[in-house]
Amino acid sequence: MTEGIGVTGSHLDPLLRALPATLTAHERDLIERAYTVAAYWHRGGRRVSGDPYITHPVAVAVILAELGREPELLCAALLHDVLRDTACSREELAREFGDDISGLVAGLSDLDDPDRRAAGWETSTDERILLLKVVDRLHNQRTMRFLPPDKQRRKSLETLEFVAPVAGRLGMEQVEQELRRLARATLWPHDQAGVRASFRAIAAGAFLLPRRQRHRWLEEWLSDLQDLPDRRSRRRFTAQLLVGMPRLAAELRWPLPDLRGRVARVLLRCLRWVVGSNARAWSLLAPFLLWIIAQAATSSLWEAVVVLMTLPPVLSTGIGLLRARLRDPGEDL
Amino acid sequence: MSAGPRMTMQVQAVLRAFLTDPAQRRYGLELCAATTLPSGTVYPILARLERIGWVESHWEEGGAQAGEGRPRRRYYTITSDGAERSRDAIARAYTSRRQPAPYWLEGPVGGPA
Repeated sequence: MTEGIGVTGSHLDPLLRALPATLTAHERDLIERAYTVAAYWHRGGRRVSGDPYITHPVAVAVILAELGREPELLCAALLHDVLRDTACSREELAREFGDDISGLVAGLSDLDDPDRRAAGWETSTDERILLLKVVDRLHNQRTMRFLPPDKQRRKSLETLEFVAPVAGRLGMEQVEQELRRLARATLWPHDQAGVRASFRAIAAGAFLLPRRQRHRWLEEWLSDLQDLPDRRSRRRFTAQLLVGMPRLAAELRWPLPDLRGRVARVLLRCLRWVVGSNARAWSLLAPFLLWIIAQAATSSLWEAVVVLMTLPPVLSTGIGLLRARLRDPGEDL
Repeated sequence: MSAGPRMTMQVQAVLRAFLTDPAQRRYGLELCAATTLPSGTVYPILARLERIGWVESHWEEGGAQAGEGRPRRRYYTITSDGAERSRDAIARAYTSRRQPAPYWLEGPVGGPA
């Protein structure tokens, strides 16, 4: 027998201690069976820390047990990596544990695979699968120090960007806070002269970017921020980046220059048509003008008269200039 | 084959930075320094050039950066098609402004007459 597969006196003990006394014998059996199957498939496997791999699924199940979650979810937690990391098949899992538990495990595997993950997964996925994802990441984030630094940063960035907000949406405030604290401690151990503040500003501005591509750019800019020598250069880099964010968002969201050009041409033609005649231009401007005069009149009648005397000539000049600027080259022929 | 980008001075500056040594890979911050353009200008241009296939990008491989204690960089390289077409486009931009084209435009396509 491979180490840790036996149920008593095994790696399962922390979970057995965390289980509520109210569990039925059948539920307890189910959990022990899930552990035995998971321990079989992960036999011989080790975490980067050197611990037997099975200690990770057990730790995830313990966290869920402490949150008072149902036995089926604890079973899914114990089995959560067998599809992704071992030769165990979905069918085999469904045969052994039924559609509900195997569905949860398969759902988490899909979530971990960028190619299978559906757009908007943070809101569209079954809450129990999201809970598994959050708790899985919580344990990984707690034990991340054994990973290579580069991988630690990548995972932490993902935690801040995706996983912690999901924990918040699930109402797990303490878990969300812990995830954020652990991820920040990895990304900015000594908060190098404002990297964290600059990155927060950039991350806020990056909401304009398409969700699927945001992560790539944020990781790239985090690297840039850490490359910059001082706080001043980081602030300048951040400000410039925020100014250019709408342009980058347009580039990524509407990549067809033809479409962009066509929309611009239609808008230009409309504007040209409007300013082409005084009647059309003034029929659009008159309501705004009247509103401004009415606003001025509420404070003083004299102010309204001044607006009435000055604004129309200014607007008229503006219309003339715009008309000259937008004149269709074809008209000169 | 997709149409080239509008050859603004900024786009030309980024392409010039690549063309001085087309084989060399560069990361975004490096391009900002080489072109003296703000980051908010360089990244949208890189996204556009990548979309039309003139430039390609990839993450820094291996653990070189891990030893230096910094995150991996995203590197950009000009493609051979991109180099050829950007030389051509820059040469046309110079011709339209009736200025002599610089030496690094001497390539397989579009060098000064």
